[in-house]
Amino acid sequence: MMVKEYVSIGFPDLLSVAYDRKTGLLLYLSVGALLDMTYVLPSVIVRTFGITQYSNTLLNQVWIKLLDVEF
Amino acid sequence: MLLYRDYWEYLRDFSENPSLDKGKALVIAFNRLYIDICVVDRRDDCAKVNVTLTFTDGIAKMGKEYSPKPKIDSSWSNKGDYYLSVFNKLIMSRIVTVDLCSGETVDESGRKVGEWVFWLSQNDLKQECTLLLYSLADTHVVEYPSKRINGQATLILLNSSNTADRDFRMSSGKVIPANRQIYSNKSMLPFSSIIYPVSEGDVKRVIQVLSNCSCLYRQRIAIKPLFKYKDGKLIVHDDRVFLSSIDLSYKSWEYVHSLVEYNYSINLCRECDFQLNVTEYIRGVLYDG
Repeated sequence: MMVKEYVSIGFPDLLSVAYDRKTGLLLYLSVGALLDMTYVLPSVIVRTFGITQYSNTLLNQVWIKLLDVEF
Repeated sequence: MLLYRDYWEYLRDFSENPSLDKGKALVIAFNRLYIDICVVDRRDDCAKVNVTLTFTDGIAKMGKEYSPKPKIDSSWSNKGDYYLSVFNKLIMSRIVTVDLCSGETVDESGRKVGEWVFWLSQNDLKQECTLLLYSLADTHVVEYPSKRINGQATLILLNSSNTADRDFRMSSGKVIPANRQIYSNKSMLPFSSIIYPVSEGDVKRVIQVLSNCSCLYRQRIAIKPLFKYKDGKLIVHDDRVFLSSIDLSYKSWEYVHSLVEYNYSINLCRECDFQLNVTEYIRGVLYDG
């Protein structure tokens, strides 16, 4: 397995996440700052879908719920 | 009217971004996003997963080379260099393969797209603390201090002793009690800080200021950081506690170092290579990164 090295840029107070400690499933993530969510949403989503930027400048907070997770 | 006026303003501003590869770009402003994840196959320690994004009530601007096109419930307008659509629903699906041990995720073309953060692995769950790589930027290649580093990342520190303050009702109706949730409301605070210029005469005073600075050390394990002074730079090392207690050997990435400056005179965090102003609406605080 090739290991990539990263440095952290940090981002205090921007992202809230919660996982089920029994199953390990992500229950929700909440983004408090919305001008460019590609910086805080999982890079798996941004890169997989080739989304350059997506945004919601209208709501105070966006909750992203995972629907019908099957595993 | 206000809704779409705001969307238009946003898209117009973004279209003027010179760094955007407009042919392959996709920009979406929306009201709500649903992420639907379904495992379609599992072999050994890998799972093949179908990920579907459903955006509602929004507007999308798409480069002409973007492929495959999303499904929308309206039509695309040809605007010359790009397509434009105002939609009620925009749906996109992709297949990815997830390594269930390391979390490394690969798309259909074989490209590594980051750590799969939608499930904690067994390695994550059995530790008291772990780090998750939520966002990364490979384009930021850093020479630090003598080695070449692939990129910069936003890491989430997940402490299993942190519980949520409320129950969570899943879409299925199932309720996850607050005390069963592992909750984090902080992304990674920087582990190390470089402060400059600091004269030799000021070192003692600056260390005193930093030692009393709750902004730097909140939610940390109570241990004094290490201070090193050299050539006008004061370096604060406080990552040794975490790095000694968290096993990251199974990850497909390696945490190297924080590359962060603190401007102690105005008590504001500034990240290198990051120019975006981010407003946190809930608390009305402006983070100038």
